[in-house]
Amino acid sequence: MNLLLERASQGGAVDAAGAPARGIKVSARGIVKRFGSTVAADSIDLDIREGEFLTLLGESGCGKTTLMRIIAGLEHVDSGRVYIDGRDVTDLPPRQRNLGMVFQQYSLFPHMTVAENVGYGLRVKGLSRREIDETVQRMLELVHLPELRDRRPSQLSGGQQQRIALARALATRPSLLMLDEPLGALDLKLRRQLQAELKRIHRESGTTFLFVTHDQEEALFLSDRVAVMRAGRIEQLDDPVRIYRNPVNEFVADFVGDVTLLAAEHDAGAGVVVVAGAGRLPMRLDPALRRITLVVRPENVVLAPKDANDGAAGLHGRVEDVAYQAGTTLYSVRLPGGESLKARRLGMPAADLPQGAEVVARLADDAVAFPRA
Amino acid sequence: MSATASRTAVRASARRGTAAVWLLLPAIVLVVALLLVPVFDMVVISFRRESFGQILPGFTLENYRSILQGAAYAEILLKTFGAAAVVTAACVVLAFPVASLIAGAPPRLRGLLYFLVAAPLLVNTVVRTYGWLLILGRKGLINETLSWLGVLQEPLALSGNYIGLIVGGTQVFLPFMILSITTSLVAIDRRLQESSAILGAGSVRTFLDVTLPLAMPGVIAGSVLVFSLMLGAFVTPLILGGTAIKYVSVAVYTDALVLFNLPRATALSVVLLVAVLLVYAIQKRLIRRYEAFA
Repeated sequence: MNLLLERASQGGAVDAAGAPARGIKVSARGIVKRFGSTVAADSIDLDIREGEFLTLLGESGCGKTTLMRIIAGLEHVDSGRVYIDGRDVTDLPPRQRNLGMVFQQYSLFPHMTVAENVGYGLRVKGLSRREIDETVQRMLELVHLPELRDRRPSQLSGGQQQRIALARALATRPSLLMLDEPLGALDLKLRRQLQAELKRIHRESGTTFLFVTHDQEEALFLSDRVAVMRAGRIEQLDDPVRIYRNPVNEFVADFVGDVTLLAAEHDAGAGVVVVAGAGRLPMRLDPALRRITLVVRPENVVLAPKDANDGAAGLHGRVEDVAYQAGTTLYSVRLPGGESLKARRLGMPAADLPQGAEVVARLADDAVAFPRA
Repeated sequence: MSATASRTAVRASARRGTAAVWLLLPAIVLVVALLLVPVFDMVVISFRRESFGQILPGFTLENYRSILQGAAYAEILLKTFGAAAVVTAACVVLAFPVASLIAGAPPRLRGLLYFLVAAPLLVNTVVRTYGWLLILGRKGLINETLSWLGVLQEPLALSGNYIGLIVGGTQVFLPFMILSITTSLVAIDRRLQESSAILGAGSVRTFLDVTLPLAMPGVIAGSVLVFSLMLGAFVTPLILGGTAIKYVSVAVYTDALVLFNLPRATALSVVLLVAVLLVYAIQKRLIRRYEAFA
């Protein structure tokens, strides 16, 4: 009875019977892990939903890989519990957790053929030859590489090796597929291609994916939900749109996507935000906010040439740089206070907004603001 | 212009080449004088006749015929190769756990462990081998302890035979095997073993399926080293095996310095040399096969 109560008190996803709630594939509760004096996991709670694509996003050293390795059973926790499919696996070795894992370095067995690699987990399970052959064939078709069956890993390109690693990891029908920066060693074009492929394979296999990356674009593109991590903590866990549009703090706002952080004063009575020296923007914010940091996304900024009757709304500045980026144009506008405001618009550079032009910047939508000390 | 530049470059590299030859000269002289000349001499003598220790002119195949056809020499060769094979196998088995420990140790500790493994090599082989005699001899540590415990009436014959030879040989050559296997193990990406574990393999399965195959180049290199060193070993067989033992190096010694039959002694040495060269040739092929997929 004591044990039940203890487990129940450990968190939302674990019900009184000790099992995580339905629809939760993996549940990490109060995970703490230290390496010497660095804290890699600082009391982390994380629920991974059945079938979702969840990404741990953060810079190197933020603890994202450690959290994944703890779920895999490759690292021991200092404290906390890990549940997979409702089963407490904290003290089980990796082989008893029914997982799949793909590393950045591919990590295919160099002395086995592609087919032997993909079939390895099934051989370990003691399946019959026929079953193994069938599954290997199906997996190779899933990653579109059935013709490579009898090759050695050293004869494959990086992209091919990574897809074979994916096939190997999925062959055993794991409860959770973990991918540790799997595309980090590939060049940009191939990475784009494999991102699309990963999305398709996630959809077709129906497996729950846990993905680790430091590439925020990749995280937003691939994921159903993103956990932004810093210093062993999850700063925000949300869907990509909310991560981008409603960051919970300056760190998340700054880490994900292009952004300009502007120091400003909020005048709730007048319904405006004042950026010293640059001008004012009409905006409805929480009336309690006074000194704020305004989070301005480049695509939310509308630039217009300055003309005589522009007195009131908008931030005044001068176009410092115009950069055409394949389909969009990124402007850097220097404000009187020295800040560089980024603005993005679709299409080619506008004729009336050349470098050096005096402009007025307005916001298409309200921006997010955080209190400033 | 570029032609001039490339000509200058050619001349410069030629100059560097000449300088390299001069720098290598002392080593080349040493190798020729101390290795090639004696080996050539040895091969020549192996085709001579002798009479009461005197080497006679003229060539003969008699020495080789007596070695390759005589049952006595066949037994010597067989037992020598057998003992070397047993020592090699014992070294592989004993070295693997130690090598795994070193390969798994943090790099800072690894240096110390390397030193501990290599430390016995700093002790002279003769001294070390007499040390084994103190342990294995009739009045040695093991026999004394066992008879004091009342387990034994008669002392066990642990030296002066193949047991002593194999124990001594294994201890003498174990460091080479450990260092060789460690080198292979260190090179294995830890994630391969982790992948195997995640795919459901236990530690034994992972060892057999992943670690061992990938450590084979080290096992092969170490085995060839230990095998050939053991084939040519002299001090250990003589002291721990005794003069009655059938061992090629002991037979060479007897032929050369007791019977003064230098032609037969050298012929036997040439047979041994050829065997070792064969083993190296086989190793080259084996390792190339394992490196094909690296």
